[in-house]
Amino acid sequence: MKLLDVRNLKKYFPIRQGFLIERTVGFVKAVDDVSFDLERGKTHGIVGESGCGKTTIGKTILRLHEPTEGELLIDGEDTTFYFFKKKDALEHLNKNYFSLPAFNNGGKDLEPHQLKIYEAYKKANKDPKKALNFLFEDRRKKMKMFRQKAQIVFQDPMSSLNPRMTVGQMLSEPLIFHGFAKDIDEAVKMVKDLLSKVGLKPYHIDRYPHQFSGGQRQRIAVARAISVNPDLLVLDEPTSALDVSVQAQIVKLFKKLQEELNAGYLFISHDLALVRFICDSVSVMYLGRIVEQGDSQKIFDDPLHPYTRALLAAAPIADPKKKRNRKDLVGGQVPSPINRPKGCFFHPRCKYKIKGLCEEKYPPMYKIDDNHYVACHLYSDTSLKGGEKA
Amino acid sequence: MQEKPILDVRNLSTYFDIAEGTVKAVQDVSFTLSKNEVLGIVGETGSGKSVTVKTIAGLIDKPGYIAHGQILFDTDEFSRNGEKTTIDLAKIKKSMFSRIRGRHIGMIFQDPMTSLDPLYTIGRQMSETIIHHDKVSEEEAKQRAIKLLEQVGIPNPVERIDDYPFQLSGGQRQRVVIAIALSCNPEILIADEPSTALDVTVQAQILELMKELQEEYQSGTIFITHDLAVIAEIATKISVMYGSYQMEIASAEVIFENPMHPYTFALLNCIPRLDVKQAELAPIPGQPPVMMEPPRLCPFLPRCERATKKCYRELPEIEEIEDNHYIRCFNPVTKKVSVVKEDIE
Repeated sequence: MKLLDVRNLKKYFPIRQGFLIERTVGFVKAVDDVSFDLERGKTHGIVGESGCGKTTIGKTILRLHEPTEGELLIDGEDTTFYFFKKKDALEHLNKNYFSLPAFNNGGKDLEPHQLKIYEAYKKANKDPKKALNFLFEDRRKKMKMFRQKAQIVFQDPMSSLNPRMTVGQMLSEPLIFHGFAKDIDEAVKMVKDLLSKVGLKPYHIDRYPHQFSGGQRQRIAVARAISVNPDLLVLDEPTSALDVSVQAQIVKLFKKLQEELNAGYLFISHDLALVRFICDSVSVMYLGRIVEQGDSQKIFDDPLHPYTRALLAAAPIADPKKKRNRKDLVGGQVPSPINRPKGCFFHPRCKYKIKGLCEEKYPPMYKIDDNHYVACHLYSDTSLKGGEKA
Repeated sequence: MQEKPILDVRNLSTYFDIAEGTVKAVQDVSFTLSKNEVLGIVGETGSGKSVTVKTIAGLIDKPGYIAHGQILFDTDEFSRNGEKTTIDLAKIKKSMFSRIRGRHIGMIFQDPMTSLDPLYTIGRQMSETIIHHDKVSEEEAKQRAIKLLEQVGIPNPVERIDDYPFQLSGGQRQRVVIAIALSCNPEILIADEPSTALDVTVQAQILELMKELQEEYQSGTIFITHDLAVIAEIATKISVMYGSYQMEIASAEVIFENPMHPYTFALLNCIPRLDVKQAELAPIPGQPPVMMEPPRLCPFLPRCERATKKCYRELPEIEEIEDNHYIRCFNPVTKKVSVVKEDIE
């Protein structure tokens, strides 16, 4: 079963204007209809330039933002509505489940996550409100479990670690909260183990974050994230604030820990070379949408979307003899996410745009190959590249 | 016959006296810069690369000072008969620097939002430099500014010249900063991480622009970055810095193909590459050094896998090991084998 299954995730931030009487004048569609999945022990990368919504995806999955729409399945269970208020949860269930035809005629051919909700629905005699009450019975427990299952490592360890807490306090808190340690003594022992696991020394336990270097601080942040044996680890640019020589150490640490924990990593980065090295599969994002998705090898060796090609052409290569592919470079910059272009969002910068089509219609996702999808009109011709609508 | 370099830095050291002691930010740095040469200075945080160029541009203020060294620069700026004389930028007065900076040394910094004044239009900021140095009328300065904006690829320069910095995007702002740096046709251009704050597609545009302008203006450029891939793209000569010292200086090809200093060697092995699929990265163990009162030893020593007994006794001098290939090491990497793997076995 898939560890994480993100389906049609949307996150819109309202733009409010006005004094005293605030009105919503529009939305920033930070994440707009994004789907991907992740298995245990694998790493999925999300790349894109600033403002493409990659960080928002990570935060929404962890419920640091509430999704506007869409489903987040963890281990085949819809966890989306557990964090909602009752009214919103009911709306979510009505929209995604109770209105399905299968729910009202016997519950045939339902997916596992739908089946769980269907059972509650049946038990409540098809009364949505009662069904919600059944589902919310163990809500607290479910939420706590989710918090233990999903953890995050942020970009800047100086701002993600509390400067007034020692390493020991910081690391023992989650252990005690989630019941991994019965008392302080046991927690201290576990913290010391954790520290050596991430390459620090047990005597670091009584130090404060400012007493460490940048790389060591990031190790503490990693230790905190893995302390509760998470299944899903969101890594939001975890090495961008570090020097290259230290970056390699942290990357190696992530790889080692992944083998131990068998966790799924969601790796968010703008560094293409790093993503190539660390990720099994990749989603390339532009203005809130995924433009290309697939196995890492396919994306980097055979990029299809003009934007992916532009990104790869733009990234400098650490070899003076290799020259970049100037043909695919693009001019201009990313437009504002408030006012996205009509049609394909990339068309104003695209060299391969088809007149009359790309300006008008946003392309659907085409399946090109096993696990290789691209949202571009260029691949609509099935005879050309074997593309079919996915 | 080699051309006489336009800038000759000899044994430059810059220290900062602070309450806790002396921070030796730059020690014993020497290099020459010729016309139409791009010298890349690459190093990690705190390696002294930025302080080196700030010292050259006379931008070091108290508590910092130049402890040793010379910065020799040929110019006719201060001579009466118009002949070029060699002056030492390390010795001249602060007030004299305002005739050097902008006129002879142009600078581009990392964050264009902080290097442009938000309260003035870009046209005014551009003509200010031109009027100060070339003593031309406002109208003429404006015309030159428009021409410069066109050169750096800003569309509709006649209209955009009255824009404020916030009306431009990050990439365009950096283009304006480049235009200002080039406005008086300086002999030396200093670029301190000019593309780091930009997105990768915009970074590529700025690098392409800088390469084009380099061909046109033929200035000597000092390009600072922590990104080895960027330096490979643009530099002709590379100086690798670590812990306030220069570790290795050579042409760009030699640095990437035949690095001899253990630090350069290890650094190239630990970066992820876009063009090839790597199975493993080889991280450098340990942490970068703290620059507070360091011992007079090689700063890379605690992390070095090729350290010898001699390394613990004295600091190696920077020496020419091949033609135009300088390194500071007693035990250079001479064979093209992976040292890291050897040591693990």
